[in-house]
Amino acid sequence: MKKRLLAVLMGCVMVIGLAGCGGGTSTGTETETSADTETAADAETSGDPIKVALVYSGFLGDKSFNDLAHDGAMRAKEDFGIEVQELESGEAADWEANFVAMADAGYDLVIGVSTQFQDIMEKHCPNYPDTKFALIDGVSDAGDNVVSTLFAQNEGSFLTGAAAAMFTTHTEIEGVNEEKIIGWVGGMDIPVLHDYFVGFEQGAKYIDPDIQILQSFAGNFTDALKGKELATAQINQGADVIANVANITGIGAMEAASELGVYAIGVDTNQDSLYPGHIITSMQKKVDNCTYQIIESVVNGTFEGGTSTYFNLANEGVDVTDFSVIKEALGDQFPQEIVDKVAELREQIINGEIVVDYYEGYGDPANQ
Amino acid sequence: MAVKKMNRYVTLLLTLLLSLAVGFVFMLILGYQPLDAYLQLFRGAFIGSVNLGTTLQKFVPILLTGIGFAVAAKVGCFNAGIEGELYLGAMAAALTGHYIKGLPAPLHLLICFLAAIIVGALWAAIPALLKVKWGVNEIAVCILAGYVAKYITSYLCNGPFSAGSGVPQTPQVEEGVILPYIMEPSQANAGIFIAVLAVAAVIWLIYRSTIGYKFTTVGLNPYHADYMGINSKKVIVQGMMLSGALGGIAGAIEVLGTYGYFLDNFSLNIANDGMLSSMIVWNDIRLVPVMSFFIAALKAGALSMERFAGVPRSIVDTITAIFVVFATMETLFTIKKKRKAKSGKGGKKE
Repeated sequence: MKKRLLAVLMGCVMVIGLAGCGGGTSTGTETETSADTETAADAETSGDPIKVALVYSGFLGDKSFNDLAHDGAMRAKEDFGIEVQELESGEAADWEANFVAMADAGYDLVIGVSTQFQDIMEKHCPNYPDTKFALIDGVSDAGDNVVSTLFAQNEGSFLTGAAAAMFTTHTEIEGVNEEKIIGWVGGMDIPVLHDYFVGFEQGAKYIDPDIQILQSFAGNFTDALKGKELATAQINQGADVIANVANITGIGAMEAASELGVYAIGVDTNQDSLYPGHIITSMQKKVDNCTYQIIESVVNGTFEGGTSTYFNLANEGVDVTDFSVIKEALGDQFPQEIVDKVAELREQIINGEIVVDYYEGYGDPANQ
Repeated sequence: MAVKKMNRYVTLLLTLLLSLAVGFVFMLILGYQPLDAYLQLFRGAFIGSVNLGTTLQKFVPILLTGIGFAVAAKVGCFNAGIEGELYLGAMAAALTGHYIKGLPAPLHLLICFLAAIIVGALWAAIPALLKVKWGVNEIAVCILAGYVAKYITSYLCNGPFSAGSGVPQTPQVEEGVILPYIMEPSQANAGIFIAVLAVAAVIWLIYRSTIGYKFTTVGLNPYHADYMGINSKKVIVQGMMLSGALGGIAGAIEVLGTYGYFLDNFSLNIANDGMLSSMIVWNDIRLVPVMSFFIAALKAGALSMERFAGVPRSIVDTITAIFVVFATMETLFTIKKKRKAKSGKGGKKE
């Protein structure tokens, strides 16, 4: 027993000795970081770089929402020389703790990237009146230190709906059938997705009032197999264009469309090249621009808490892609009229000739 | 006996230092700054109300599940399924908390906890009954039942009882049953008082009551217990049910205190940490609170270590694991010595 204890003790002494050697370099960085945290509160006055924290309800590398926010923050970092800290977590149980930790650590601006931070922010933002907060893709009335951003997904979806309705009539294209049926696969049955669908439906019916739209919800955003299953079912019912609003689940829906030789519509980012030749266009949410503009407003001192910004077609917060990938794949078969009509509709929406419906609780907050 | 107790603390302290040292070397090898990481770990666990509060918030469920595991160990069962009991107890509290309306708050709160306790206890009774009736290995059943429990709750909060928002969670419980936060803005809540009461009750039950005496006797040797007129099968089931009830309470506190709703997959292996904290201290119920506080501090600190020193928190899990390995090694050693002493006296049996 004694021998063993001695051995353990000696082991400890050795390692602690090692620690002493390695310590010289590491203590330097430590004091530096702690000094940063202390001075962060008065960073704006003393001219130190502004510190921005982004908290994600998922991971970077999703080729979608989170990556876009990251891009926007990186762009701002280059342009304004700010400091950026990012926290990712796929576990819902971590979100609140991560958010509070960042709020408490003295950052100038803390951004909750996704509507899922809405409740968390309403709970905690009032405790940190000196910190600025931003919620991306949701409206938070948490206080006058919080800005919210909303996207007009209904306007973007109007255009994709119109494109889908036109595409399904072009029976000369391989895979397009006689029936005027298009499909729509959503993730969870939550209000924001209905805002997408309202626009999509209106856009499709604007082109052709008789068109039939199949709607399915997968119940989650993470199950690609489920997405594939739902899309396959819709295709078997005669749908030849499947729009998805379902993140990872949607990838499965698009895969089904490409495997069964029909067509799909992407969402949030430019997904046209995921299954080249099978994705007509994507409805883009310009989360990167939005993130950049929020950071810019803090840098310029124009940050106005308690307000919400509406990102729509007019200010390029949402848009559709330029159809270039499908155009290249289909060659001469691709009906140019779709591109022209979509461009025309976009103008009409921007100048107010067409008013796109929105789901309850969405739409431009300025008009409500 | 007193010397032996001292020895235990010394061993514990040494194993702690050793595992921290191994963690240190690990981080060096992986190219992190170990000293910086440990400083952040310490700061993240204790400095400031958010950090200390996070430690306390994590302490409560680890404590309860740790005590729960130790109670099952008292009757000779390895309750690897506390995580499942915690999830189901949490779901029971969330549902009774939201769907029962119009009751006075204290009564409602009592119902929430009772529901969690009953569900947790019944779930733990399954492996116990299988064990005493047909000799099914309770560890296997516990682990499997744990998965089933987790997926049941996952289905419920994604499906029939979903709050309908983008987050997989049940609706918020009624205002009256929410355990208030005690250290804003952290998630530490009044559940800690309930936990301390529950633990005190369990300690009294185990060390001061006849039930505890029965538990200990059955745990030491069920055949001997049967011979003495104690129904060992009944006691084993009781022990497991008490263990499951503690898991249920832990879940209820997480729902009513920390979150206010049931969040899918919220536990992230809390019960495993509880289990480890009990195993490190040789299932000594009186030492479990100390060890679970330590593990909670490590867990809370690990978050901040990850955030500010860039060291992944899995390093802390590694340290805990090494801790368990060393600690159980020492136990092996003492058991061996005891056996030797026995055989020396000539009291050979079996």
